[in-house]
Amino acid sequence: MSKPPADSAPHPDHAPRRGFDVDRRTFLKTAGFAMLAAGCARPPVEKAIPLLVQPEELVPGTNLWYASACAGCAARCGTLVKCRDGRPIKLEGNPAHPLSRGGLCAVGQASLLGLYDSRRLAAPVLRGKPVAWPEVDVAVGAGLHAARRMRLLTDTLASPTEERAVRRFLAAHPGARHVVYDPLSCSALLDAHQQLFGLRVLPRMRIERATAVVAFDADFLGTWISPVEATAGYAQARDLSGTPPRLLWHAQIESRLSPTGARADRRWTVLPGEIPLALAHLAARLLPAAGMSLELSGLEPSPLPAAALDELAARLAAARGSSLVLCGSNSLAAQTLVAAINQALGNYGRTLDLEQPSLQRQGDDRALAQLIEELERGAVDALLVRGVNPVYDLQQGTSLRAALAQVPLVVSFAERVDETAAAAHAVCPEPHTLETWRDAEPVAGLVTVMQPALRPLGSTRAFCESLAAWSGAPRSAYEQVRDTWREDVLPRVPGASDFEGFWTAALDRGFVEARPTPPAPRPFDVSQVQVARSAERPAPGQLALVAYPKISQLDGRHAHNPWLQELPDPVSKATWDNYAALAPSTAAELGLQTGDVVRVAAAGTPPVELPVLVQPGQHPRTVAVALGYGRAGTDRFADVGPRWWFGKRTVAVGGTVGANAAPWLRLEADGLRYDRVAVEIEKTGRSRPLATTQRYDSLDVPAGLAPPGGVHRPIAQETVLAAYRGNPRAGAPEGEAESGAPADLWPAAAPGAHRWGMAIDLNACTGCSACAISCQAENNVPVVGRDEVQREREMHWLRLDRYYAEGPGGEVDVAHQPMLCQHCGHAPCETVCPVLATMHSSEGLNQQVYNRCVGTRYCANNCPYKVRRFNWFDYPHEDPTANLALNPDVTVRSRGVMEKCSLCVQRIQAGKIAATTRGTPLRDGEIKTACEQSCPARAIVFGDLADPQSRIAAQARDPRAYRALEELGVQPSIFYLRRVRNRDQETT
Amino acid sequence: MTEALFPLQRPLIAGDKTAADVTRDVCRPLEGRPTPLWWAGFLAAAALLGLGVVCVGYEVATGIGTWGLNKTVGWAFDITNFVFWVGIGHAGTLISAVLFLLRQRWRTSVNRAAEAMTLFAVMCAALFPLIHMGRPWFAYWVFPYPNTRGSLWVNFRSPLLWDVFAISTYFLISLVFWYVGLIPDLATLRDRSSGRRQRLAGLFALGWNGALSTWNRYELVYLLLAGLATPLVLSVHSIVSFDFSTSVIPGWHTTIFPPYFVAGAIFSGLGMVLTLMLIARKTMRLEDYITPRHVDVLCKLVLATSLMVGLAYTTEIATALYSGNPYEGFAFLNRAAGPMGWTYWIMVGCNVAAPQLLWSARVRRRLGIVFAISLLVNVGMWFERFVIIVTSLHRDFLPSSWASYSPTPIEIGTLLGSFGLFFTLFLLFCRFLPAIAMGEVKGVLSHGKGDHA
Amino acid sequence: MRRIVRLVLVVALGFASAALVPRLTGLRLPGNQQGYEPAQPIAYSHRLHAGELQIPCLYCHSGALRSRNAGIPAASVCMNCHRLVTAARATTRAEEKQAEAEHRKPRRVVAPELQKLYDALGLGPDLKPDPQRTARPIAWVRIHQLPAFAEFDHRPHVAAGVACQKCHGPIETMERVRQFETLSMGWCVNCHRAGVPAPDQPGGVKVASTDCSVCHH
Repeated sequence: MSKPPADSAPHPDHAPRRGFDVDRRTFLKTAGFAMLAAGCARPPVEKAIPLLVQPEELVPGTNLWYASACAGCAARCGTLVKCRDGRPIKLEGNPAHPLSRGGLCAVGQASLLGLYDSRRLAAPVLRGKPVAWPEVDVAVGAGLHAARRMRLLTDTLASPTEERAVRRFLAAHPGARHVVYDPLSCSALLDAHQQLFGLRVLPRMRIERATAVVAFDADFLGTWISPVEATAGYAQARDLSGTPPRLLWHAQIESRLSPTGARADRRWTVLPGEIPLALAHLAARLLPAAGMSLELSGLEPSPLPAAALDELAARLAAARGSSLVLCGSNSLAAQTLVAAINQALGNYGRTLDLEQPSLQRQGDDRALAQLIEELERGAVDALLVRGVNPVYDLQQGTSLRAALAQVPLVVSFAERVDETAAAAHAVCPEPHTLETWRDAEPVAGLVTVMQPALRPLGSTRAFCESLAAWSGAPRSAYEQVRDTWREDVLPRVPGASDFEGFWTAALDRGFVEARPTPPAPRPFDVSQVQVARSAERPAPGQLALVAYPKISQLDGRHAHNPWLQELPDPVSKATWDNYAALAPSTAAELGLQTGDVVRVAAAGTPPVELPVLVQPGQHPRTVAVALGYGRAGTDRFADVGPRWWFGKRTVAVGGTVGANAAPWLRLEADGLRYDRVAVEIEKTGRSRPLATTQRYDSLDVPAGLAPPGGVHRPIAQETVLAAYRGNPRAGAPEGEAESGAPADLWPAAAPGAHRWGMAIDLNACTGCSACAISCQAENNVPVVGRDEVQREREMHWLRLDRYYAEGPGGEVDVAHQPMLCQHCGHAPCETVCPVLATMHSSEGLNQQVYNRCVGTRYCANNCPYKVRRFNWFDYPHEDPTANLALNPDVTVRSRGVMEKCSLCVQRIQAGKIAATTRGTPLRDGEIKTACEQSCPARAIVFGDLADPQSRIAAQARDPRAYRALEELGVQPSIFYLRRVRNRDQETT
Repeated sequence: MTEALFPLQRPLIAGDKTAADVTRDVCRPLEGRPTPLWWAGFLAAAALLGLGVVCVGYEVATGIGTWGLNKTVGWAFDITNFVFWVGIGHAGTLISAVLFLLRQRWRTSVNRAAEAMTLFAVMCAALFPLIHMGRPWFAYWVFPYPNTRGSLWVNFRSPLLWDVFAISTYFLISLVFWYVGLIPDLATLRDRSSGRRQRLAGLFALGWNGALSTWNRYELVYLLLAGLATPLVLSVHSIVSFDFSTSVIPGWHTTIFPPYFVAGAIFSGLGMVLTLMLIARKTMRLEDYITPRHVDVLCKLVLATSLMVGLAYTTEIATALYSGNPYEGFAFLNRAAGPMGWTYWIMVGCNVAAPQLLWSARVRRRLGIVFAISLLVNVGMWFERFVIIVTSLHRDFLPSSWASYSPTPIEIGTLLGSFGLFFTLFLLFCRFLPAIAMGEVKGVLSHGKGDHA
Repeated sequence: MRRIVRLVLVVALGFASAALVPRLTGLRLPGNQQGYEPAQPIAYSHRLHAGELQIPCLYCHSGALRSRNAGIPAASVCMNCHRLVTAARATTRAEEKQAEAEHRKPRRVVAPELQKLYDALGLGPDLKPDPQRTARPIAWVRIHQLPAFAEFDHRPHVAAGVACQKCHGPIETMERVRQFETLSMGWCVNCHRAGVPAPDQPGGVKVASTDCSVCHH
């Protein structure tokens, strides 16, 4: 297909068939009500339009895979793009990629939908009017020519080609400067290494090599720097089924309950302002042993109990060289102390890699501060903004907008008219990553090529193309990437000579391993370590505010993605909103409940009204608010989901989804801070219920309703390491049958060729929700909107159940459990369906036949796991562009039918057909379900239980394996592997 | 001729009526103009029916989402109403068939109306399984019929399918039973009227000639039909209860359900009969035919069945707690003390506590109080079904999917609409057909008895 | 008595007509398109190509081997032959005779139906791409269409050795393609139940799966 799908001649099987499908449905509806249509009536005539000239590689109806990389965040994980008839329909992790190792996070999965966003700019905008590129080039060219003091403001590029384009651009424009900042900044961490090692780099975390990790406010499994890579390493370091079995010890010290904290074996809460002090105390216990002389006297008393400090110090010292201390705080003092501790523990060169440092964050907040100062002084003639949205994601947002008005020329490269672009003279939209050539070097020496999967849907132009055009040397992105790879990358790759061969191999694999530019770290300079001797604490009656990124929204760049907006937060389970999270004790004190609206006021910023969410595991003197909400234009979701008499809008017209927390950030001397020392919380008396997907948070039934011995429900089972060492079945409920099938009244199912099953390792699962979005993308799961979620009618086939429990030291323990159709051998749903719409397959699948379903909902009532989802309405599929993201292999369900996880039966079919056509039996692991494929922790294993050699069969034999509600005798095909916490004794 | 042997026994029909009086009294409402009271009732009922039509129409056109159901609570008002109306239907068959076999002669004044009530109730009930479907236009798929799908039959293991057969059988038998009972009275109407009404009545009277031989055959047929209908009183609601008892959901999965449901059904049916009798008695001036004695007998039956239902409630809880099954135990504690506990206590209050007043004969004679109690019984029995369905579903096995439920206006409108349908049909029946079986009542008249002793 | 007889007769007649009418009048159930034979933009003849000229099905419908859709060949495939063959042999021969008689070079004769193909490709009289003409893909009328909820894949059927004619009928005799079978679910399922001769053991049959999810997902 040489034309964009939007207006190309689609293959008969696709776009037209959707339309046809609907016609047919209404047709059958009438025919069904009264057979009046019988005979005479015919479904509407359908055209089948083949290509005129068919390209060699393209066979209509088959998939093509392109290796590329994800641009959802700066981590740049490797992806494989699945294309059908010229349009990408799924993003999957590239298993060969050294960073992501086949995983792909929720944001990455969802970025596919961003490609088909019909609200993206289709043409450049000049002074508010869409124009052609030449006009823009003339106008911008003139402006740039006149500009002496030009500033190019971008996020971290980490792309050889773009960096090269920027270098040439700056060279072509004397007086121009390039300023980099990351909305989620690691500036202090970079500066610390600048001061201590003379290298402004991020050491690459090698968690897979660690045996003990202590993280201070670092959500490294969720949102910090490179979560997919970190999760893969973390899972590897906690793999109890591996050889040898490993179980990393993980302690988290933080002010709010982060997804990473939810995984920790030990957890303590401190105020954000107390972290440097806590680190100083930890350093005081660890540095002397390493003979590092650092003046650590005169410290305020530690915010952490002495026992905690002792335990941390002991664990770290015991694991020296294989330990890891991380800190997400953007304070230089904290980061230098962390570096000193890691140095003292001899972690550099082992768990912290300076040879091949990470390039995923390069922002320099001091340069940013300087630029802002210049802007406010009016000392900038031209400002080019790319990849960041300063008016939205900086505290100075509002004042910046005013300042930008003074700048003679402001150019934005945003894909839509965002907050900053609104203040720009020219908006030069970039194509989506899947539409253009790019490359990336996320880690020194790992160069990834990002190739397009289809022609741009609109008249857009890549960043490097625009720069080249304005530097007077227009050149296409494709040529620029090839130039860079020929001149810069090829020489760095040992043993590569012939470029075309090298290039083809790179495209095929998606990346090359090149020699990193050899860094020369100075010897560690302990004198540069700054020591925080005191802590910042709110005055009595005030709270400290933490602004944090959510797994689904990060810094807000994906706010226009409905999949991510409706993705429940892994911890709070809330969708479609941000909120003021308060500790239960604090909420009780203030007489607040989840859903009450409060006014949050901080010095120097206008008060913001937010609904409260009572969040266990949070420091009682903090309020936590998610970043990335309140994006302009998110009222596009006003009418997402069904419209009916009593339906409520997802967001008010002209409003925004959530509220922006950026005004609470602080741009300090040493970097961008994500906390406020003191804010005031004031009740408004109004309330706004949150749309959460889980309403009861514990596996213990409410006191008073529990029958004798029925308090705790062993659904998500877990144990501690000490117990597990003694008995690998530890954690199983008492009286559970060791083995042997119980008496059975049912006829034994005829043994089929296969017996599909799945195993989920609760010890590896981090609740990151990548699987949920992957499932949504694969299976055409609709978005239903805020009101429907509030009515507890979300449609996700795979949900992540989250349970709180009392942990050690009064801290909260969190358990995550992916819950999907359990494909029961004796499925209760199957017996009750009057029309045989849900049946058992000969291969152990519980099949749901949408087109036979009449929608009695009896099956859902009778499902012990409540995993069946009913189509309460015809969910809107009106946006033809967005519909291009639909998977043609999966039927789009109509109103009134039941649906649920099918274990990706379309993939099973495809795999079996592939095996038949090639004439060899299926290989174990050849078929991967969408959730399994995307899981960064490799927690999910799908396979054939009938094959004793298969991985799934092995997992089912694991002593940790159990099945949820096994006692009901429904014989689920989904096995869970018990979680083991690295602790010495059970906490009750 | 028991009356002949015991001349002192209180007559079943007051006011020393002759056969002619009976005919006149019963036919009066049919031949005269309708009373304002009738018009008021009819208009109110029709208005409710209209509301129901709008709600159902909107639901079918828009989707089940217009109801308050969610991922956890898949049934609520819809199936509650279904079971409620099926239950109402039961008393009709009980009174007309069972009591007929038991030679309870007092039944003659009430059986006609009770049978009509059964029909209309079953109509209302049958509506809900249809409209609760996500795709009602495919409802015909639940019938086993030859098809081009190779062939694809229905799931004979599904209780829902058993319902289809049970309900349709029940409706047919009740209809025939009711119609056969009507034949002699239709003939009476035919002979009293003229013109179109005469032709119509004549058509349905099937050329009844009142000959002795005709009466003989007629009574034989009636006896046989009564015999056929009797087992249905037990079977229908047992099968309805299978919808729940064969499932795995704690609170549904119990063996006591069949007898429990049958008792409950008869209880609710009697409650509804009482309500309607007392209304008809007033509005249609039938005080002589529906005497305090009838009310008294019905009250005793209500009391008896109420005790059965009470026993079922206690047994249920005892079994749940004794079983040692944590999910089962929780389901019942949650019913009584959980977030929806209030519905449970309404149920117990109306179905067990209130009827106890009927122990006292004085209460049974105070028709006002009896009427109030009969209404409470109706309310209580509706809540019983709601409690069974919703409180069991809303908190089952996995705490993560525990949910709440609250109805939307559409659902409430649909419930009211079903009452509208019921009363519209019933009032039309009172207007156009003899609400009292003249033929049978004449058989139990005391007039002239004992003269020739 | 007579009344009863009459009654029986009436009922019997009702049943008979219910059973016969579809057969006699060709009334079909909704969705059944058996015998659908629409006119196509180009009067392409399978009888000629597949029947007379014996061109194998997979030459044009190669997708049947590699994809779920057998696919309608791209116009470029037609040009493999029709770059040279521009009209029926007889007409070209006649033209040659004529030319011989008139002592001139024979002109190219183009059959009107083939002209449509060349127009679609935007070719000039010399059958070279003509910048003046715009190429438009040919909009064939789809005949064999399954509902969206039924997933059919040609590959396993071809692999199992099911002949094209089994489902598409004697296509090589059709001047204009007609839907030969009902394509109803029952028709699919019966064939799946019957199965195909098993390659490994002689005389044995290999039955295909009748799981719902084989076709419905």
